[in-house]
Amino acid sequence: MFGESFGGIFAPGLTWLFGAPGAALAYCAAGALIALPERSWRTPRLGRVILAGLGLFLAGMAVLQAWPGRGFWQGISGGQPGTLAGMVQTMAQTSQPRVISDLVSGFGVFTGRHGFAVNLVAVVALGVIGVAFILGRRTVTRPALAAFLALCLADWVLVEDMGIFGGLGTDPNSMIPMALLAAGGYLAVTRAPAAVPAAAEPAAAGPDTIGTGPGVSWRERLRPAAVRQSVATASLGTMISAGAIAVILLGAAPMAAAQASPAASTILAQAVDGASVPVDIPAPGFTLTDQHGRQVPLSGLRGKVVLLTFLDPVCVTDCPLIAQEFRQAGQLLGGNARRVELVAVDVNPLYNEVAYTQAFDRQEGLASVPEWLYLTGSPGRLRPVYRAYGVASQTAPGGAMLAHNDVAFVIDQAGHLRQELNFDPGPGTAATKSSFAAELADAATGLLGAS
Amino acid sequence: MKAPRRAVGALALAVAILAAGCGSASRPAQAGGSSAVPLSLATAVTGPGAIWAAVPMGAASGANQFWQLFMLPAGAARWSLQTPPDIATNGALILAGQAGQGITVGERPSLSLTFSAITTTRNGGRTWATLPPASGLADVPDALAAAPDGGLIALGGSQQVTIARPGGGWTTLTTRRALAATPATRACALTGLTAAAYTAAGSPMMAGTCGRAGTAGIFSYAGGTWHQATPLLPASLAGQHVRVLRLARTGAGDVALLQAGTGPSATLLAAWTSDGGQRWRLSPAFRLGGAYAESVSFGDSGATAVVLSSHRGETLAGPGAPWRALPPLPAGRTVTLALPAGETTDALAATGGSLTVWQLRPSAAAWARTQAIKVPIQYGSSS
Repeated sequence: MFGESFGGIFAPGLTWLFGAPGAALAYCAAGALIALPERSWRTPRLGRVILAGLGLFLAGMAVLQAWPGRGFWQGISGGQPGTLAGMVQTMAQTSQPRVISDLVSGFGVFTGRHGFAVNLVAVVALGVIGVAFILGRRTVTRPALAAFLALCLADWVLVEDMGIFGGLGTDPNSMIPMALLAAGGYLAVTRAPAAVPAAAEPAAAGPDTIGTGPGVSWRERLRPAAVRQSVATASLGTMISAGAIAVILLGAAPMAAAQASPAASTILAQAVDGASVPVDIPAPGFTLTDQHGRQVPLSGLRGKVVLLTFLDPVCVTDCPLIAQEFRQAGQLLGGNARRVELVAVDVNPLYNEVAYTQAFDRQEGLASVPEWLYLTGSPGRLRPVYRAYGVASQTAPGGAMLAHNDVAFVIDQAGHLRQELNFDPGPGTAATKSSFAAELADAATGLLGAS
Repeated sequence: MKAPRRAVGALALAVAILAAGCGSASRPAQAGGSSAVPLSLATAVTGPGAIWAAVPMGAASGANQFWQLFMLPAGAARWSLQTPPDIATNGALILAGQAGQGITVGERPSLSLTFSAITTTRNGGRTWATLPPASGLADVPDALAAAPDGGLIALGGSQQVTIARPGGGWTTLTTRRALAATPATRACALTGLTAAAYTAAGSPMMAGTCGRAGTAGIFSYAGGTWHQATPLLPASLAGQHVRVLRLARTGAGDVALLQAGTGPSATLLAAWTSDGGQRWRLSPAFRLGGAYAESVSFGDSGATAVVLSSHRGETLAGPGAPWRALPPLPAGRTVTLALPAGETTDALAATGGSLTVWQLRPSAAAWARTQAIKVPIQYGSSS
């Protein structure tokens, strides 16, 4: 879960419908429940807690689903598939049986045409089911469970990919374990023994069980003596269960808190790819040709902070996104932008003509950005630069684009490398990629402020 | 129990209303009939030194569909994979035959890439060089063509036509709107451009769809002006709207494949010219019977092969020859026909990452499997 920045649920563009947080969350929760001692299941309380917790989670997901600006309400936006339609269409491309990909693809088209209505149904369904689970009344939870199972099934078939059947997935996605959790909670409520005979619980009958038995209020349970007793008598399963829940909360809380922070983008970017690596060595020099045909030595940029990356001008995925991050970083810098140079080096030695860097600039709206330089050169000039900066590229067969690592470097005004940033935008659609613009702008601002 | 049931009923009603709302929303207008079905960009180009075939593989569409380029050297028996390196081919490959074992390939825009990279090889794919990128090529198999001197003509997605002299950059030659305003296209009432080509003498040719029935829109450019280069169609097609599906230069001159009409009565006919469009020879009309042409390939002698949506194939041996039905095509998600010399026909059947080559010899009644190629597709590399 941590490896995926908690399933990316708080990243822009992701939603419970896509399986975020991933099935790992449901497995962790199920593991925690299984680890609980058997006596926990003898009353309906645990079932109610499960359903209420799931209800809270679904209600939260409904809020995220309805939140303006996350792009879920637009089927088509600016001529392009919206967040929901785009992700569904991407999932349809995953290697999987054709009948399934056709279903997902068809629903992607439908979502593109009726994005608002699809999202409205999702928001209403999540909200109503969530509230019903929170209320916990049997008469309400039964139809809510049926609706939830139907929603999970529909989402599993129509939205989530079945990469597990195509050799690319590692699990059957989140809807099945989610549905099982809900069913488990419901059964715990409805099938629990009506009452536990006192004789069956000898440990609970003695005077040392003050404040921990069934029917004891939470206030009494939280008294120091009761807490001490609970800890002292806790089983290994209880401890493991508590640990699992603590791990979930430890991960979720900072990510949720990050949403309220103005530096959320930086925090999320670092959650995806780790913090930047601080370095302090002279930046390896080079002289390459910019998009206007001029020779540009790196040393000629002294006195400015240089944000440097490596981009493939014919890349179809990450490089355009990274270029946009650079452009946005320039905008975030405001008046400081003229003291910063945004520099990319062509990482594709086959497509190394200036005509290609120019075409890329036009495509990305960078042609009119004064502080933007897209440098290229002959393969003989480019390859030493790749080596010096640790940029590895590899020709991939079968019509795939050049494979290369996504990195960025921060070079100070004196020509020293100060930071190396992993710039892999992560999986997902364009709308779900992490933002690095704030991280770049922060790094440049820090160096400008220090000078 | 009643209150929750009412709540559930209300919820179901709300969902039903929403679903009904979804269903009643307006749909984009559908262009009419089979005439709107676009021709696949899968095709084979036959030159004197080699045959090149562009084949969609991997997924059926989207980011995991990767177009592959295969080559069969003249006189050889086995195809080889020669997909241009270092660029994602999700958007399709458009082929422009060059001399010898040369080919120029335009990569159509896909995903975040909005322009078309152009690569070329002169040695059967052993080494590749880049040419200046073109604005996004149109979604038609003849959006890129090569002149005898190596110059290029490109039809862009926004219906602009650009040319590149050997060693030079792209300059605009015309646009659909400008071409439609010339006297040469007046009789046609040009509504759209569908193909670009060169004549054997090196003059640009453009083809498109006419708004006026019974007229084929083919035009050549010489002496700084556009000229009508239209074949005279049989009187039986006088009332039919004609669309030029393909226009390409072969070793025997230029060949065009036309579709007249739509629906079950639609017909295909090929037209050949060796003098830049002054005189044409027409094939007999082939009645489509409700099917439509999925992909079209040409041989070096002007032979034509058509894959139909009914999973059948038809060929024309060359100017003046009759249509010949092929045996049922081999199984495959896509089948692309290629026409080596000697009246044999190769069928390249692709499913996922597997390509199977089937051959039909002139006197044979069935396809014979001759080769299988497994393509190492990098699924997920473009997403």
